[in-house]
Formats: sequence, C-alpha cells, structure tokens
Amino acid sequence: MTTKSEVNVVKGSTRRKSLRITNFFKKLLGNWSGFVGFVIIFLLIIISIFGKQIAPYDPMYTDFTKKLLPPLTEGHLLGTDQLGRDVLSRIIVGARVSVIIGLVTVLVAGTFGTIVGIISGYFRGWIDVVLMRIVDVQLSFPFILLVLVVSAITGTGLRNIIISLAIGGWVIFARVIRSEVLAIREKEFITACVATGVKRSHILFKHILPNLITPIIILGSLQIATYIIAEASISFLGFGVQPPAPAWGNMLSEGKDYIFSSWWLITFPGIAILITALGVNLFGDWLRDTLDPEFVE
Amino acid sequence: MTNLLEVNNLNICFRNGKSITQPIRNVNFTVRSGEILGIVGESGCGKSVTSLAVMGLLPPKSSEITKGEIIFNEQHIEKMSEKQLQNIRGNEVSMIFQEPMTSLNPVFTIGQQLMEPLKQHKSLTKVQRKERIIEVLKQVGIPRAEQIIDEYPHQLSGGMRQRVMISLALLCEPKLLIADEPTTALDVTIQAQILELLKRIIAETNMSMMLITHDLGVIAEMCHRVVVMYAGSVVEEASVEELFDNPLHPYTKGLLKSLPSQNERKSALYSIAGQVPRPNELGQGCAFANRCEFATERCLTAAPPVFSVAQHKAKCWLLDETVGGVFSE
Repeated sequence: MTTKSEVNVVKGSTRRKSLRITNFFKKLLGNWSGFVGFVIIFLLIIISIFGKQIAPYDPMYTDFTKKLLPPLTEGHLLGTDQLGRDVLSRIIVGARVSVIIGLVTVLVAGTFGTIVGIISGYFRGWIDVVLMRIVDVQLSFPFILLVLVVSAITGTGLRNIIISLAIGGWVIFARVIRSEVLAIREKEFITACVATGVKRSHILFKHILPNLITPIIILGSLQIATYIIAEASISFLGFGVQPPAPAWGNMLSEGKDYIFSSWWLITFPGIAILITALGVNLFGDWLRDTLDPEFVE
Repeated sequence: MTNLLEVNNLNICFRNGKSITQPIRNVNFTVRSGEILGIVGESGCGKSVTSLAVMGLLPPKSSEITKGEIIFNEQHIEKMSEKQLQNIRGNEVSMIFQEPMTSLNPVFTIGQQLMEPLKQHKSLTKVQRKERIIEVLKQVGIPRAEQIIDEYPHQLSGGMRQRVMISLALLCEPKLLIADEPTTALDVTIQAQILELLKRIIAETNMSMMLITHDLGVIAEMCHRVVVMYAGSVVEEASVEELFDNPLHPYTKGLLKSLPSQNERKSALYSIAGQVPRPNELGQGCAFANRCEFATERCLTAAPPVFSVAQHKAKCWLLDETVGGVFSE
C-alpha cells in the first residue's frame, strides 16, 4: 500500500510540472494585456533575429533620386529619409540594437544591483553603510547625465553603451532589493528557518532570493523600457550607435532636422520605441501576477 | 527522571546603542525528559527571550549572555558555535512559533518547506523524505496529506498552518520542543485541538516540551510543572496541582485571582494594579514590591532569595524561615 501511494506521489509531481507549462499559456490567453505584451515581445525578438531577412530593402542603400518620400509611395511603406533609405527597413534592422541593449543591460545592471542589494540588506553593518552611500551619491546624479559622462569616457559602440547604461542603472536595483531584503529578513518564517537549523547561505539563496523574484521582475521590466529609451536618447545626442548603422535613437536624431517637412522620419521610430516599452511593461505586469503564488486562482 | 535541559543562573543583556538593558536576571529552571514545563507570565517578563536563548537564536550583535549556563543534554548551548547550533536546531531542539500565518515562506509549497530540516539533518532519499513528511503530516491530523504537500501556505487555514508548523518541528524527532504561545493566534476551538494534539504527541513520543504562554487555562490543561516568570526572573516553580491549589507568591495569587470564574459574574474582573517594571526601572528590592499587597519595608530594600517548601519554590520574603520556608541557593 505504501509503495502504491509512493508511486502516485512521484507521478503527481511530474504531471504537475507539465501542467504548469500548459497553465502558463492558458493564463496568458486569458489575460489580454499580458497576451498583447507577450506578442509584442515575441515579434520584437523575431524581428531582431531575422531583421535583415525581413526588411524589404537594404537599410544602408542610399538613393538620392528617392529622398524624403512620404509614406505609401513607390513601394516605401513608411517613406524614405533624407538619403533615400527606406524607413521601415531601418526600423526593422534597428530593432536588434534596442532589444539587445534593453535585455543585456537589464541582466547586467539587475544582477549586479541585486547582489549589492542582498549583501547590503542581509549583512547590514558597515558594508551596508558604505554601499548605500555610494548608491545615494549616484542617485543624486541625473541618470541620463551620468550615462552620457560614462559613454563619453568609454566611447561609442554597442558594448560600451551597455556598460555605461548598466553603470547608470544598477543603483535602482540595489536600493529596491535592499529594502525588500530588509523586510523579508525580519519575517517570522526566516526565524523559523533558522530554528530548524538551516544554514545562513541556504537561507539567503533558497528563502530570501525567491521572495525577491517579484520585485526584480517588476523593476526589470520597467527598466528595460527605460534603457531602450535612454539608448535612443544618447544616440539622439550623438554618443550612442553611430550612423550610418540604423538604430531607433539615431534615426530620431537625424530626423529632427526635417521635423516640419517630413514628419514620418521621427514619428515611426518614436512609435516603435513606444510600442516596445508598452509591450515590455504589459508583459512584466502580467508575469508578476502570475509568478506570485498568492495571485494564482 | 533526568534533566534534559538545565538553565542555571542565566543573565542576558540587550545592547541598544549605548544603553544596556537586562531583560533576564538569574533565571533557573530545568526541563526533565518526558515532561511538559509551562512558563507563564505577563507580556515583557522575558519568557520569549529565555526560549530564544535556549535555541541560541538571540541576535548575536545586540544581545549577550553575560552569566550563567544553558545545558541541553549535557552540552553547553551558550558556548556553541553557529555550526554546532545548526546541528542541534530543528534536530534535537525544535520550536513552534506564535504566528502560523507568517511562519511559513509564502513562495514555497508545504512539501518544499518540510523537506528542508530533513535535508539538513538526516540522510534520506527523496522518496523516504516524502514518506516521512506524509507520515508526520498525518500524525498532526492533516487529512489528505498527499495533496497538502503541493499546496502553498496561503491556501491553508490558520489551524492547518499551525499543524504544518508543528509537523515541521517534529520531523526530525527532537528531544525538546519549545512552543512559544502556539495557540495565541488561533481561535478557541482550534486552540483546543492543537493543544490536544501536542499533548498526545508528547505522550506518544518521549519528548519534552517547554510551553510558553500567558494563559493559565492552557497551563492547567497541559503541563506537569510550571515556572512563573516576573520581570525577567523566576518567581515561583511548582507542580501544576500544587501551583493552582496552593500558590505561594503574591504575583501567582494575583494571576490566579484575575482568571474569570464560572460561578461569579457579579463584579468586574480582578486585576493586579500597575505594570511590569521595565528592566531599567528595577531597584534593589523585590521586582514585584510596587504592585504587591503584602509588601513590607524589607521587600523594598532587599531582593528576596528563593525559599522552598517541599518541592515548591518561590522568591518571596513572605516564605522565610518564620513560616517554615527553607532558604535554597
């Protein structure tokens, strides 16, 4: 009899795992905003991987006979720019820069900031004081200004942009995660854990960290959008992706001179940034609700 | 009966910035194997601090055991390293907390949380662990234990969560169970069930229990012996029958008098005037002197020693040699 129940128990847990994955998609379909966010992100990733294949024209091909064509003329769906390059193709190919910057920066800044936050919040003492004063000093600086200064030092290029955005961005993670850890470490279940003889390192990584996933996801999804916009801003100011390579930010930057005569040059990259930020936020919001066990059902 | 736990002359200090308070002064008591010892007293008497000290759970930076010893199973708990303590906690000494609602980690299923002490202390296979968990869950009276292990804490009621907490404490079959107000947060019917359960488990296994409560009704129901604490020290120690039939210390008398009685409902409930003095307000005399109806000149100037009358001990001048008390210690 015991063997029978034993087998049932083991079976139950594997069935539960596959159930969880189908449940994930079921819930995604049931929630329109999460679904929209998911679709936007999915499309963005596809576009950033296969951008060159999808784009109807070569984004670098210049044709002065066809410059500044308005949208829907001569086969150019979103028109052409001052050098006769296809705007749609440039947006599609430029998506890769935005996606890579958003995701990689959030990974780098998020990981570093979370580690600092956990150390600060869990161990307290002098290390907390030192780390948090560094964070305070950095938070008193405007984010964009700091990123500009750092990228002026590190130089342009994708890697350097990510480094400077991460240097500018980790502090928010550190501060938020620290406050979360402070709240969690005083919870009774942590004391209960210590009382059952669990090791400190185990408590930190197995009990405190999983409770941080919700704030990390919320903050991360908000920050992805911030980083994409920040990259666009520094590209706009000339420190980011250098022309002629297409990126949404430098498209805006180049298009601003033609804002009164050719509105489509800045409108469409702007919309692309907006939709990306929206999609990431919608999906992050939904993910938060789904991952929190208390929100389920 | 052998003594499983001996607390001898325990003194604990808390440091808060520069100010030092001493919430525990010269506490002595023993827990024998197989018995339930009740620790009773008002809020702020040092009951919980004492129990945390026994677990070695006092915050290391802000508190310190300045004097005395805690001997569990012939080992000195106060001298142990963190590593040695980890081996004892949850394995030989377990604790049940007051708040079942917050004592379980909200992001893990019950099964995952119950795995933890077993992983830490016992070398069992995954299947054996699962069997043991289900066995213990059934022991604490949880129906459909096989399903409960895949559920999250918020899906359970308060009484169920407290049962889970109890099973968490019982998993490694500890020698001593410390229950810090285990039923305070539960409603009365569930309280009775949980107490009944604890009593049954103690009787079935050869476990000892330290039951901390402010509820004399619980004490009367559950315990073999009782320690009454007041302002950080033990004021009376006796068997439960002796304590209720013949309380010696005026504080215990006051506590018993303040219980509502089933027979008389005429007047307002009795209460002991005043409050428990804070640790920094204690003078030289008896800590209870300012609230005691029998206080004399001597009570205000000198702290009373412990006098014993047969097996009954109390810390009060009223019991001195003139009434046959024997000076002990």
